[in-house]
Amino acid sequence: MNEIIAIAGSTWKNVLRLKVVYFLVFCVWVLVTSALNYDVLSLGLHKELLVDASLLLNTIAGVLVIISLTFEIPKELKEGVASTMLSKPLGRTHYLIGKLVGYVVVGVIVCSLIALGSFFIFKISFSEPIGMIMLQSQIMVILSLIPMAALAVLFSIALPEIVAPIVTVLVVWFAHSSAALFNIPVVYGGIIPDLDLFNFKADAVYNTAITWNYVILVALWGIAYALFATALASLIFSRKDIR
Amino acid sequence: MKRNAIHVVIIIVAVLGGWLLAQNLHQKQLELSPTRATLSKLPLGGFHKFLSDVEWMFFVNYLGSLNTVDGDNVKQVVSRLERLMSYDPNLSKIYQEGAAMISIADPVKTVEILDAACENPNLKSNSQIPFYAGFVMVQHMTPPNHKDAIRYFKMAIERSGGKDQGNAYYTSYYYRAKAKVLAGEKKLDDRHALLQVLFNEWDDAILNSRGDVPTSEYNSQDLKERLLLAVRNTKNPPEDYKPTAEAVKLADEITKKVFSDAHLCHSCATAYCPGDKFCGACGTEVIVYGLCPFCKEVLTPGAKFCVKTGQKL
Repeated sequence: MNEIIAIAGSTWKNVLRLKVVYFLVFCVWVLVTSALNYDVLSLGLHKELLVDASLLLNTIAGVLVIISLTFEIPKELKEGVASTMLSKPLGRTHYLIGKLVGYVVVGVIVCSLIALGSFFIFKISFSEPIGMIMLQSQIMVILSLIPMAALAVLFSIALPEIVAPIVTVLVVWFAHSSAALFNIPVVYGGIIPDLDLFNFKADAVYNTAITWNYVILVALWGIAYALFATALASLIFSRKDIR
Repeated sequence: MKRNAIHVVIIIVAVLGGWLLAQNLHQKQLELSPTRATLSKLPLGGFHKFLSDVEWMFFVNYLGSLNTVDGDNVKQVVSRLERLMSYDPNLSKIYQEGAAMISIADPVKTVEILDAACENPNLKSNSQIPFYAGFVMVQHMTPPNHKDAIRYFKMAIERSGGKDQGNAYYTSYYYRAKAKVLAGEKKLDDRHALLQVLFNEWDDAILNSRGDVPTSEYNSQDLKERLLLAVRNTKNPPEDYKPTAEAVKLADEITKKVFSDAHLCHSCATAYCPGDKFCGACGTEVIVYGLCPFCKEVLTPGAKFCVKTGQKL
């Protein structure tokens, strides 16, 4: 456990030290605020646009954080940093879980900053309270980082350095439409992820209520899927030669 | 070897657990937002809502570039509207403002789009959409479809606050559509049919308040006012309208049944004041009321004593 926390800690500290992370958050805030300029062009839908844009940009920012994981692991394996770290007593599974947790923490911090900034912009622009569904849908965006990070870990171990980020982005993209496979037992939700389960962007715009029970269940699903993807990655990683 | 076995067990348990949870969550998600099932099946990365926002702005821009929506471009406008609906079926502007654009060029398609919106559970509090569906049916369809429009007008009234608070505009269209249907069925003129419809509504409402029938339409002051106007139009018709004998008979019956305590002139249905012997509007002799039974002095409304003799009334 201590090894995992040590790797995760060094990972998030390294990433959060980068100024580009805060520049990304700032850019998202600017883009969210720019939705206010579309009141005429959208015939008065700028409030809805602001809510939606904040969720969309938060999702994209989360994916960007996760993508950087697919660069980080192959880079460490290539440069021999991982082999140094993997000297005993640190196991390969610990290394993967540490990286996963580290990047999820980075994602949570980045997405939370974006969400808080968006709430602030919404509040001062419309003088309206932040609806529960707005909060819940932002939490779901943050929770979706768990399975996405696990997918990134899996692909960065199983695929070559150049292919891994592309495949991760494609899988994350298509995983929002995998509900079409609903009738296939075990495959749907077990092997192929359904990231649309976290998608309540339209509901946030229209203030449609969702239950906390759903939020908890979807978090459990994210953890279950992350377990599957990380265990599979660990299995592949255990058979891999590291320089 | 042992470690690999643990990994395999974790994978199997996680896959089965994930599958069962995902099945459950998918059903719950459809219950929470039922219109999700109607969204475009294209892989859009879950960005349907944002795409609808962008598409809406393009649509507004596109409409701005058109002089009019006619047979040449209506298909394009409809295709854009349908795309918008597949991204976000809950966007009311698609129906309230978008569908309005094609209502003259393609009223059938307009009603089809609006009908889908009427069935949308997320738009069930919107009264404008069903009203507009009915409006297009009676105003833009050739021939007008009054019979089916009634359902939409009724839906609009119910959504705008129920019986007594029903929007007067929706109610007007509702009564008129019913009158048109009745006129067609019983070969009546429009005004006679409207008079009959209003009387039937009042009759239903009265029966309903007595509990004789389980359901009824709209019993309100508004209905009485409409009925009075219709009676006056029949008894004192404008130059372009000649009421039939049946219509006049019906107006007399309504005056007796509905306005028995309203002191209306039986000839022109104008209200007259206490002590009046003749109608001020048409000169017909009327039944005098509001006099002291002892001295025949005209009493002030609500008086308990005669102002001339001081006798208790």
